[in-house]
This record gives sequence, structure tokens and C-alpha cells, in this order.
Amino acid sequence: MNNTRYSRSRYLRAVQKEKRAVRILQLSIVAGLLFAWEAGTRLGLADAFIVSSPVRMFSMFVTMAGGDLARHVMYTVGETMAGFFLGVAMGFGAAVGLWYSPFAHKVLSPYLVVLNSLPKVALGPVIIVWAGAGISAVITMALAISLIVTIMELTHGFYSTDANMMTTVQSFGAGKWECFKKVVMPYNVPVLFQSLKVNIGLCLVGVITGEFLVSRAGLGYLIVYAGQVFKMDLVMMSVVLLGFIAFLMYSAVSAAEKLAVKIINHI
Amino acid sequence: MFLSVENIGLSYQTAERETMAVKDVSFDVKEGEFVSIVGPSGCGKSTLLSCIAGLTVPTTGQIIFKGRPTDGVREDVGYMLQSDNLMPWRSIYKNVTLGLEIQNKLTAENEAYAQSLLKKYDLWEFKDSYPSRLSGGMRQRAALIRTLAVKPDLLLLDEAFSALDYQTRVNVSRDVYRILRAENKTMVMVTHDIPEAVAMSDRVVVLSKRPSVVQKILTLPFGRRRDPISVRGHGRFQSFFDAVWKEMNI
Ligand SMILES: Nc1ncnc2c1ncn2[C@@H]1O[C@H](COP(=O)(O)OP(=O)(O)OP(=O)(O)O)[C@@H](O)[C@H]1O
Ligand SMILES: [Mg+2]
Repeated sequence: MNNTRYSRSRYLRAVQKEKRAVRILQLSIVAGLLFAWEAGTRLGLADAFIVSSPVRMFSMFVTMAGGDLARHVMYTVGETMAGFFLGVAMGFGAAVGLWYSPFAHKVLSPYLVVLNSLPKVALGPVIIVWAGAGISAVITMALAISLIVTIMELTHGFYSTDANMMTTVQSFGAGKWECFKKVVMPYNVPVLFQSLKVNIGLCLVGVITGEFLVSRAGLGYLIVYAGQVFKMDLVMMSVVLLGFIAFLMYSAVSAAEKLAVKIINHI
Repeated sequence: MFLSVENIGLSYQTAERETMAVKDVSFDVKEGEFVSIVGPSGCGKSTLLSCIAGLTVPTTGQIIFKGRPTDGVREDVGYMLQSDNLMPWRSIYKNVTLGLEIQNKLTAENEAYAQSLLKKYDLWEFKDSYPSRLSGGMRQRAALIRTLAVKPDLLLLDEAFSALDYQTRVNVSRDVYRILRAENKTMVMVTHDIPEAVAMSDRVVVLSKRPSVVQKILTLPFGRRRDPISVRGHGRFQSFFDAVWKEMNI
């Protein structure tokens, strides 16, 4: 008994230690890259006007933060969230429909395959004409990029639900809808969150593409504008900020997943 | 008759071909009786059981249970498949009450019955655990209690023990035997395992190769109060094993 306690505490300590080592290394890589970047431009290995530098980016950030950076960030974040939630809701609804009706699934799956492989950016001009040049076009672009993937992944997950579990609930007299609630949905929680995680990234791609094409605000617009007037500090800062936003959103989905698993385990 | 299987035949239709799985199978089961169905692999045992459960509609013939023809899933018949199929996201208690939930029968009385089964069959202390924490044998017991909780009169077991290792399998089949006898149930089970069939049942229905017909029905003399493990040492056990084996290999 003492012995197992001992090995348990040793195991826990080793896990802790490894976790810390991973964190430290991750931070060191970022710090190292930033340092090399800064040093490279200072030593004249690269032109800071072309490649920018961490210090120049930071001072640009400070300048912009006093200005309308917050507004641009809000636009991008807002559009991404709108695209994300709309995409999830519509994608989920469509996938449930395609699961509920195998006939509809048979009819529609070639369309899904074609739409999925179509480069959605090609729809840009169409979207602008149809949705108008503004937020709605940006959100439509985000949807165009993320929706089909969501539908396909969820539908595939729903159809791959364990057949014996389905038979088990059916043997208790469960109808199709009950099968969905009792088995298909909980069985596919990991699939759902996997697709949400992919979705966040795809929505950001869509939003930035949309902002490139039409917008007057948002980080995508800022990047295009700064590129045209050759403000590389602003371009790079916006890109880094974008990476940060993507990271935060991904973390939010991960946190939601942990919560959902906990909830589903207690209903 | 409690359960009558009358001239059941079933052909599966697929794009490539028609497969006649069951040709013509008839037998009766008395109330409280334990009947095993054995037969060569792929001869249509699962198909037949699924028809009795009302999950599959036979091409010909009919099932009459308690005087009423079966035309779909019915609440007085419980069905257990291979492996326990417990839902990993539900606690043992929530798994056990799944059938009650689906049938909208989560009354205080029914829950009390489910709880009494958990207590009686040594799973009470695990009621809040998740299936992954339980051993294979315990999981199988939990699955049986899930089936019993809706109070079926007839239990259908399709290779219910075949996912277990040998020792657990023999022990679980004894548990199941005792539980079902104690709860006064009628059972029809499908198995590959001839000793298991002989040890657990009052009669063994031997099916022929696909498309199956009844090859032979053997009546076993071991009685209700046997122990399904020690009966394997009974003087006449081997002769019944041989008889089933012979019929299966004709
Ligand atoms: N859904 C189906 N569609 C087409 N053919 C099927 C289907 N299910 C079973 N079959 C075929 O019907 C025959 C009987 O199958 P069944 O599963 O009832 O046999 P079994 O006796 O239970 O087999 P096993 O001993 O392997 O459990 C087999 O030849 C099988 O290939
Ligand atoms: Mg089978």
C-alpha cells in the first residue's frame, strides 16, 4: 500500500515535471524566434522596413491601440463568431436532416462532394453581388468555406454510430428521434467538437478572405490596406494578432468541449 | 403455448443476390422454459432471434407470443446482443434505467425495482460509476439488469457471453442462469458454444446449415435447480454434448 502510494506520487510528480518542461520549451521557442528576428534586423541581416521586427510591431501596436485597432479586432472577431455559430447551427441542422432521411442523403451527397472541392474564393464576386459589399458578404464567405465541411463531417459521424448500441435502444422500442437523442448525439460529441475546432480556423479564413475582398474594417482590411501603403509593421502586427485571436478561439472551443463532456456524463 | 415460432422463413434481399437465411423453422416454448438455439455458423440463428424480438419481419410464417402475433418491437420481450452495449457516457444507474426512460416508465415503483436488482446482483456500489470502470462480467450483469428493468416476460440472448474470456463467460452464464430463474423468466438464447447450451437450457433446438430448418430438438433432463457449472460434470452431460454435436454436423 505504502509502496503504491509512493509510486503514485512519483508518477504524478513526473507528469507535472513533463508538463512544465513542455510549457517552458514552448515559451522559449517563441522568445527565441522573437529575439532572433529582432537581432537579425538590428545586425542588418534583414531590412526591418521589409520584414518588420518585434519592437517595431509592438510600437505599432501601441500606436494603433490608441486609435481604432479595437474596432478592427471587433469586426473580425464579431464576423468570425457570427459565421461560426451560424455555420454550426446550419451545419448541424442539415446533418441531422441527412441522417434522418437516408434518401435525402443519397440524393444530395454528390452535390456536397462537388461543393466541398470547389474553391470557395471563386464565389467572391457572386457573394459581393448577392450579399452586398459589407459585413453580410464577409459572413457569407465564412459560411461558404466552413458549412459544407461541417455538414459532411457530422453526417459521416452520425452514420458511423455503433450499430449494436442502436439495436439495443431499438429493442426497447425507441423510434428514430429517440435513437438520435439517446445514442447518435452523445456518441458523436467528440466528432462535433472536432468539427467545431476545424470550423473556427475555416471561419477565420473565410472572414479574412471576405475582408480582403470587400471590407472597410477588420484585420483583413487592415492587412490589405497596410500592404498597399507598404506599412509592413502594421501587416505583421495584424497577422500576429490574428494568430493570437485564433488561439483564443480554439481554447474557448476546447474549454466548451470539456464542459460538454462533463454535462453529458451527468444527464 | 407461451411462445410459438410458426414456419418462420426469411430471405435477405441485396442488390447482388437474394440470400435465404432461414427456410422453415417452427418450435414452441413453454412459460419458464430455457431454450437454446445452436447451429452451424451463418445458418440464420441471429436472424431468427431478431424475428422473435420483432426487430426483423420474417418473409414467411409468424411469431405468436402470449397469444398475440408479433408485428414489431414489443415491451414484453427483452433482447440482448453480443457484448454489453452499455453507453460509456452514462453511469451504470443511467444505463440500467435506459429502457425505462425510452418506454416512458420511469416511475418510482419501476426505479425501485431497478435498484433492487442492482442491490441483489452486487452492482449497487457501482451505480454511479461509468461502464469503463467495471469488469466484463459486471458489465454483462449490468446489461442484463437493464433488460430486466422493463420487466419483460421473455428474454432473448444472442451470443450474449461471447465477448468475454472463458472463465468470466462460464461465471457470467451461471449468474445469468440464476438471475433469470430467480426472476421466473422465459429465455431463448443463441450460442455457438454447445456445452453452454447443454448447461443452461431445458431444450436445445439444433438448426441445419443455411437455409436453416429444425434439424432436431433435444430435451435435457437436468432440471431447474441445476448449477450450470457443476452440471458439466454430470454423468450424462457428455452424451448430450455428443448428441448435439452429431446433429450439428450432419
Ligand atoms: N442484413 C443482411 N443482409 C444480407 N444478408 C444477411 C444480412 N444479415 C445476415 N445475412 C446473411 O444471412 C445469413 C444468416 O445470418 P445470421 O447472422 O442470422 O446467421 P448466424 O447463424 O447468427 O451466424 P453466426 O453464427 O455467424 O452468428 C448469413 O449468410 C448472412 O451472411
Ligand atoms: Mg449470429
